Amino acid sequence: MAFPQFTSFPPEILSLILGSCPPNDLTCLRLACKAMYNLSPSKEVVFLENTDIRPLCGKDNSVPRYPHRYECHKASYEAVCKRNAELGRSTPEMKRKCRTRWSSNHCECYTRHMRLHRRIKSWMPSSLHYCGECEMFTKRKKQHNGRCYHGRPKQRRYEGHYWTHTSRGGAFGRKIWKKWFNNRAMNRLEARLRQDRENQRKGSNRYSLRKLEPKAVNSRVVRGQPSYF
Amino acid sequence: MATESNKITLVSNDGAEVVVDRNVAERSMLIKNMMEDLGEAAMTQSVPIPNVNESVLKKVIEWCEHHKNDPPAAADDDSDSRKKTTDIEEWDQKFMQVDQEMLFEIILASNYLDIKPLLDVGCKTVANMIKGKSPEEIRKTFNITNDFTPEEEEQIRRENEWAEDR
Repeated sequence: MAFPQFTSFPPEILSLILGSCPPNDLTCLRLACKAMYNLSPSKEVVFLENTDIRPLCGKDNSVPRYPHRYECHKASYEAVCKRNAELGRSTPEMKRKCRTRWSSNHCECYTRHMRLHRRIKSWMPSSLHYCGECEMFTKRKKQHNGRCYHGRPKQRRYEGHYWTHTSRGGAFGRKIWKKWFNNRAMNRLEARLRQDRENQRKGSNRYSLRKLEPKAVNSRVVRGQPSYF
Repeated sequence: MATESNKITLVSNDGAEVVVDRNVAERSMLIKNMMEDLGEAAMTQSVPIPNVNESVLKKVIEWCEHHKNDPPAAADDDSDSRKKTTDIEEWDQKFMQVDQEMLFEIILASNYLDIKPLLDVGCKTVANMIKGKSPEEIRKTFNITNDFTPEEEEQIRRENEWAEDR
């Protein structure tokens, strides 16, 4: 392209542009390319919950959310009443809850669209998803079904920590150990124990019963008396 | 109405001559200082503006003519009101509704001619173009190439604690 490029502006002009940008715009601009990132080094950590806009009703952010929302709802209703009165129309009584879409009219005070994490979502790798509790992008394990466990181990119902393809151990239920230790295995175990017991009864070589071997001896001599046969 | 002697001739880089009132031309600090230095001799000669072409020069003069009666801005006016992106006058907003090429040329010309209010308006217009856009959208708007390597992006995420380090 023949016309001047944004990145080829002199640094003083770029500094003026960066100076005109609110913090979230500045962060997004810095992430556009390396030159922009190096031009405005940020010394502080940028929080992902930052918003550039103040509440559109002009109230302070320190007001608790729901009273604030109710007041905005009431103010909006009063404005509608006034407009309808001018036009000679009647207005139904105010509903306690705001029935407008979350992004419309007074509820726009709380739009989350301008939060930094929404704007840089496309810049982050697809494997990372934003977690409001952790206030950062986290990885989700497949077996966690897309949930973030906020760095804590998964809470399990049973302490056995047996893993099965089916939830709650399938047909075995809490006796999931039967899946691997069935009747046949029990029979084999019993047979082995029986064999062991028998072996124990026989004893070892040292303590086994003495085996007598026949000897060629003259029994008469041994007994010391002559034989009458 | 300005007399003939109060007019000066500006010559753009493509050789086009534009005759303007002196008080209009003196919105540019460059021309004003030059006039003060050269005195009456400058009135009889044409002033070359080598970095600005005819269409941009005419546009800048249009802005100067509209703002010729504005009070001069303070030398170091860095207040927050000046920095706000939304507070552009309606006429200036319409004036800046031009294509990106012309907008960038106006910014460069106002920087060269040292017309601070016009430079501010130009920068604020660019800042408004950035408003609410994601990094990808900004790249697309200004035709910027993403030259970050995956490792550098990872480093940025780590520096800002944007992603878990588990």
